[in-house]
Order: sequence, then structure tokens, then C-alpha cells
Amino acid sequence: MSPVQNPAGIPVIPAPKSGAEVYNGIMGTIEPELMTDQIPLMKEKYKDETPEQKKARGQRYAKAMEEYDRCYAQYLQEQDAKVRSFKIGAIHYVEERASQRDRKMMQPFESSFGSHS
Amino acid sequence: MLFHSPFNFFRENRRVFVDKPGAMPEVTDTQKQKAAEVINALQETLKADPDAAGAIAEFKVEEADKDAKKFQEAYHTALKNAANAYYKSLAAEDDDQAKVEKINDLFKAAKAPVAFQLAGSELVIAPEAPEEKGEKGRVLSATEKQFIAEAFPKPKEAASAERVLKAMQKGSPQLKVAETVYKTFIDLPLAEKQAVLNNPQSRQKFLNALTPEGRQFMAQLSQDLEASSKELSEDELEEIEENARNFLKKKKFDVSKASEMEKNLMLAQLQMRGIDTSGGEEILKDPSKLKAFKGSPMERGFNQIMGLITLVLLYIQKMKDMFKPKEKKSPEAPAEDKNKKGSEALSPEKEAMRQKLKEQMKSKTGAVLLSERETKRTGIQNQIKTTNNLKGKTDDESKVAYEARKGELPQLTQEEAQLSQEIAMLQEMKKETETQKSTLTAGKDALVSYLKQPNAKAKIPNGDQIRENLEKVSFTLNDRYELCIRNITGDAVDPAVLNVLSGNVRIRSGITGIDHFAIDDQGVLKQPENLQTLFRQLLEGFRAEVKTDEPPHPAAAPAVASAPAGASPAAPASPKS
Repeated sequence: MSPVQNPAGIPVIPAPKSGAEVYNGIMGTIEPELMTDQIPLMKEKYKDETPEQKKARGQRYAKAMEEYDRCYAQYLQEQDAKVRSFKIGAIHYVEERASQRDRKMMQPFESSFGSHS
Repeated sequence: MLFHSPFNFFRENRRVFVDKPGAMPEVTDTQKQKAAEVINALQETLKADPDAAGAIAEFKVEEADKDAKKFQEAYHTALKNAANAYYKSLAAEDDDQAKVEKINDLFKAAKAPVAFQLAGSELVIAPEAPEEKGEKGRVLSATEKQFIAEAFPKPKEAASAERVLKAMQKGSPQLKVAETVYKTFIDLPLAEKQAVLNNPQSRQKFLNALTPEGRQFMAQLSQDLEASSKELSEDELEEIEENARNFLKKKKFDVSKASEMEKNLMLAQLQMRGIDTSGGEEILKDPSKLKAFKGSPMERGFNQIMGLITLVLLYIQKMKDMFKPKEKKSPEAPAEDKNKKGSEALSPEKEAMRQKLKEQMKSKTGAVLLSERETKRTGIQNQIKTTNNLKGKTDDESKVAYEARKGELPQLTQEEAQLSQEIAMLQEMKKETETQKSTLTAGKDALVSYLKQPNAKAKIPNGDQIRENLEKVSFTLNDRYELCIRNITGDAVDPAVLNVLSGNVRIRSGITGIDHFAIDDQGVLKQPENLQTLFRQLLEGFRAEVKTDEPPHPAAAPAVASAPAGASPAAPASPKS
């Protein structure tokens, strides 16, 4: 899982996401009715439902929430991996720059050795 | 390899969030676990009440928000670590400021979204607004800066130490003592300094060598540092308050139109967001009065957990309120029932019908009553249909028959309507009890699984015994469409089981309702938690549905249970009966 690199070489920090974006992103694929903008509409939408239908809906939602928990745990793991990868990329970047700097500093000496050999 | 030694950490496989970022209110693992347990309980509630989805979603959004912030913080920390590694490789060159500029140039060229500044001996990410607002106190001397840099290698500690030292008055006796301590420390050889910082015995030796005032100063400094590092900064407090105001705005909450329940739900949600809600609904009327809850990290975490628990209790209360009109049948309740509005209240006619049916169910099962009425209604409907069919016919026989029957039509229609109402009422009574049964069963199951957890076993005296006995009971509908408690096999419940449960569980009332839940006298749980919630729900279920309606001894249950629930009526009523 290697992070996106910008042209200058350092990994790009992913754009920060709000909690609602993360939640809706996951929940949207599981149970769109439980997305934050849909929940307030529930009351009106189901005002005429029977107790059986209500119970069935509750069970559907509970299942969706469980599924969300599973997906969210997976999402956290992916983010974790991205952060680890980013750490490595950032270190590589400065390491590379330091090596370049050292090579530059050594160049005059190396060429002076070369000219005497 | 230039970075060999500073980069050891990059081979580490540890989790990203070992340390909590300073901006987050620190919640302990136990508190987190409690919150998770409460959420699990709420998810159980969801099965019976889909309206609880809103609260759960909010919690999950909140959780995702916190995690997203932690990830951003982790990215910044990674950049900071890289910058510090580069900084150390520049050791032989330039002065400190020049090095910082060089690093900032390097990261700027790489389009990193941060800039760095020195704090002690380490680079930290510079705040976006370079000027620190409200900086109080005096300017620190070079010795003090050196002391901070050497004695507090961690940036957060260094920042806290700086705040504490800056607060000391110039020329004060306390500052003079402090200066002696700095000097003593700074003059130590490097190895000894390291030992003082890392080895408790060397630290004690260092402290013993100080004057009594010096020791007192160090003790005070440690105390101040601890308090200072745990306090929320002004920015953090403002952020919490701003988030809560935005939340209120987003919800378009109108306090003038909100019911008491809605106000309490909103207050609980604000409390979950770290707001001090002790002022009650005043903060809802005027959101500018919203203030973040101040206190130690544990107190702040507890305040949030309390908000969550209150929210859960309120949702359960809301759910129970939905059941109320059907439960309140006792003679002391009618005045309250009359005051109920809309669908919650039963009309006097319906109330009378319900009582009549309950009375009839003492001699016949609910199923029999339902079946009798359905059969009778079908007969009447057939009679009405037959009479109406005769109406259009032209033969003499039909005309005579219609004339003879038409006088019965109004009465038959009225009877049919009455029967339909009674059938609907019987079906409703059954469904209500079934819903209550599933709610209580879900609560019982969640409680049993909670009591199976190792931490619950350690915490709850007799937890295993309670769990074992809970596992022996089940909720069922009796033939009168009432909720009752039975053995798990459906037989009469063993009185000993109920004795264990009621002997181990007590509920105590406080100012805010039931605020203590006790298991045995020694095991008072001082904090409400999901266990309390579920037991409360469960026991209220026992009380409201079983103990008031059933004879005091559970052994009486089999008499009712023995009547076959699905038995058909002995003889179908004739259409004309």
C-alpha cells in the first residue's frame, strides 16, 4: 500500500475526512437509509408502518450497524497501513535528500582524488 | 547509511496510535470499553426500536471523527519525525535557526503542508498562526531555556514546563530557589543528567542533594507539570464549544418547540461532545453559553460517558413511553391516561372495550376470543352479503326474502363493526405484548452476554449466579396476551430462580430517578452503565408486566399455561346468535 507521491518526492497526506464523510461513505454501501442525511427523514417515511414492519426494520438496521462495525474496523486497518507507509516514505525522502547533500559535499574531494590518480 | 541509528523506529511494527494526541479528550480503556458495551446494548435496542438508529449513527460519526483526527495527527507526526531526523544529520553545520530554515525550505519544496519550529532540542510543527495568542508571563532566561531543553526532552512536557516557569514572578523567592535548582542540574555531567532523567535512584540522589526548598520546588514543579499537561488548552476548549454549537446549528434545534424529552436528548448529546450541561436547558436557549467541561482527563472522559449513558436511558425511556398506554390499566392510572394526547391515549370507549376483553379472557383464552369473534363476523358478513344480493333480484321469491331480511341490516352492520373493532383490539393487545417480549428478551440476552465477559465476572459479585439464573428464564405471552416469565422450556418458572434474581438485584431511587443499581449490598455499582440499563429495563418488565398482573407466586402460572393457546372454539357461533 504505497501512498501517492507528489512530484517533489514526499508522500502526499490524504485530505482529511470528517467523521460523517467516513461514516456515510461506508454506510452508503450497506444501508443508505442509515446515512446521516437520511435518518431524519425516517420518521415521516415510516409513519404508517405496522409493528411487525417496524421490528423487521429494526433488525435490518441492527444488522447493518454490525456490518458497518466490521467494515469500519477494516477501514481503520487500511488507514493504519497507509500511515505506516507514509512514515517510511517521509523518511526515505529526507534520507535521499541527505545523501544527495553528502554526495555534493564529497564531490570536490572525489574529483581531486580522481585528478591525481 | 546516514540515518541508520535515528531510523530504528521505522522498522517497528507497532500500532500508530500508541500515544493519544493532546487535542483529544483522554478516555481510559475502561471507559472506552464501557462506551462500547453501552453501544452494543443500544444496538440490541435497535432491533425493537429502529428510531434508536439516530443515536447510534451519531456515536459512530463521533468515533470516526476522532479517529480521522488521530490519523491526521499521525501523518503530521511522521513528517515531524522525518524533519527531526534530518535536523540531527545537520549537527555540524550552521546555528539552530539556520538549520530550521533549511529544513522548512526542504519540506516546502516537497509541498509538505506543515512548517517546523524548535521547542527545546526538538522540532515541532509550528502552529498555523505564528503568533501565540494570550501568551502570559515573563520572558525566560537562557538558563531556564537550557534547563527546559535538557530536563524535558518531550515537546509536550517542555511546553508545559515553559508555561509553569513563565508563571513565576520575576524576583520572587520561588524563582530564586528555582534558579539554584536549574544551575545544579545544568552543571551535572551529561551522563549524570541522563541518569537523573531516566533512573529513579539517581533522581532521588539528585533531589536529596538539593536544599529543602529546592526539593519542595521540584515536588511542586512535578505536580504543576502533571496538572498543566493534562489541562485542555484554550484552543482545545474553544474547539469543543465550537463543534457543539455547529452540532446544534446543524440539528436546527428549536428549544421553544422541543418537548422535555427532546431537550434532554439534546443535552445528553452535547454532554457526549464534552460540554458542561450542568446549566440545563439555558445552554439550549442561548448557545453562546455553551462551555466545555473542564476537569482531569478522567473526569472529562467520564462526563462524556455519562452523556452517552443518559442518551441510552432516555431512548429506552422513550421506548417504554410508547408502551405505556397499553400498560396502564390499573384504577389509579386513568386520570393520567385521559391527559394523554393523540395516538398515545385510548378513548374511553376503547379503554372500556379493552377492560371488557381482559375480563372475558379470565374465562377464555385470547385465541378463543379472537377466533369466536372472527367466526361470528364472517357469519354476519355472509348474512349482509346474502341480503344485499337479494336486493337487485326481480323474482317474487327474492323480493319477499329481501323484504323479510332488510330490517336486520342496520343491526348486522353495527354488530360487524363492533366485532371488527374487538378483533383489532385483540390483535393489537397481542402485538404489543410480543413487542415487549422481544425487547425484554433482547435485553436479557445482552445482559447474559455481558455477564459472560471476564471483566464483568470480576466486577459483579454473584455475576455467574445471576447469569445462570437469567439463562433459565424466558419471557412468553400467556393466553391472556399478557407478558409473563417462564422457565426456558416454557414450563412454570422455578421460584428459586426468581428468588435468586430478586435477592441479588436491587434498584434504588435517587434524585434523577433510578440512579443506583445494586447487586447484593456489597456490590453497588456507583456508575450507571449498560448493566444497569438492561437490568432496569428487565426488572421494570418483571414489575409492570408480571408482578402486578400475575399472582405473587410464580407457581400459579401453569394454570394459565395449561390452556392451549391455539385451541379452537368449542363450537362456532351461529351467524344469528
